[in-house]
Amino acid sequence: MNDIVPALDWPTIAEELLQWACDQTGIAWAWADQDAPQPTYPFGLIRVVSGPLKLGTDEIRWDGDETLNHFGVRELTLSFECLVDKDAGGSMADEYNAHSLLLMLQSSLRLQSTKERFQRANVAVREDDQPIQNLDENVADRWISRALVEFVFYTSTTLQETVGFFEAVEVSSEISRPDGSPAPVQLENEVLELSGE
Amino acid sequence: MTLFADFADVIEMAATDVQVERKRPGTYVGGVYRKSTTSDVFTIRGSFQPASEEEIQRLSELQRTDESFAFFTTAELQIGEAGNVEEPDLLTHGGKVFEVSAGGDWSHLGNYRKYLVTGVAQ
Repeated sequence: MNDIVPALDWPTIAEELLQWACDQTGIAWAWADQDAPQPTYPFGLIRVVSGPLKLGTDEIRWDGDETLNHFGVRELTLSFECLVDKDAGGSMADEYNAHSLLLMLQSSLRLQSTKERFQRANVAVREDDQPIQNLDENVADRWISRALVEFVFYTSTTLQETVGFFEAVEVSSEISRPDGSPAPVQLENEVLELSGE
Repeated sequence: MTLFADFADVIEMAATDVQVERKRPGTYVGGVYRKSTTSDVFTIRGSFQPASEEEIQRLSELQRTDESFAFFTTAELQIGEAGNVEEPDLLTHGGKVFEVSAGGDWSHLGNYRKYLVTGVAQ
């Protein structure tokens, strides 16, 4: 029976990205497309746009016993969307709009400290120079400052598979005549050791 | 001359008791919404009527093929639409559960509210 473990540590990646967005913008962030009421303004939404996309060819390594390790690089495209109710007032609504919050988020991707925190979650930034799109909208008679930007991240996967193999093979054979009596040719039993010992 | 007309009595003529389930607010934990396990249940008076094609166009595309009604009442209900931070109220009608999906407040003109409710898969 194969023993499969999760290839991508998504909970760790998701937690780190969400916490990073909260830390850099000072607003609450949530995952998009949930069957749930929206958070209170201002808030941000993270959406997995595409991925994990396999890049190149995975490396398959046999570790000497019954385990095959698959190592691969994956690409993830995530969108970060900010919504600020400018009519609500308050320090956040007065000082920042959605575009400026995303600009802070985008700028922080170039910081060494951000790269190091992502590294702990097995994430690297691939593209951070996408333009921020302004998508202001009217929702329930309120003017909502809304903006969206996409970032591309790298991560890696490790997939382990437990496989069986023949440790030793024993071969024996005897040639018989058509009437079933033993033929003069008889092979010696041979044992082929494949364990490398 | 006043334009205000009180339609509460008209609605009452066709009204029935309707059970309302109002979910308590949930919380976002790690960016994921956790629904509350508790809710308040109470009864209001209201009238279910056929919804017009134009009214159904107000619903999200996903909801337009669901069973829908217009619901007239004087009570204020929570609506599940963009911009709302509360969960929509659930109404029980004819053994089925309906979600309050859209609404209009006419209390300042006619002392009533009109909602669009859509069936919820159970």
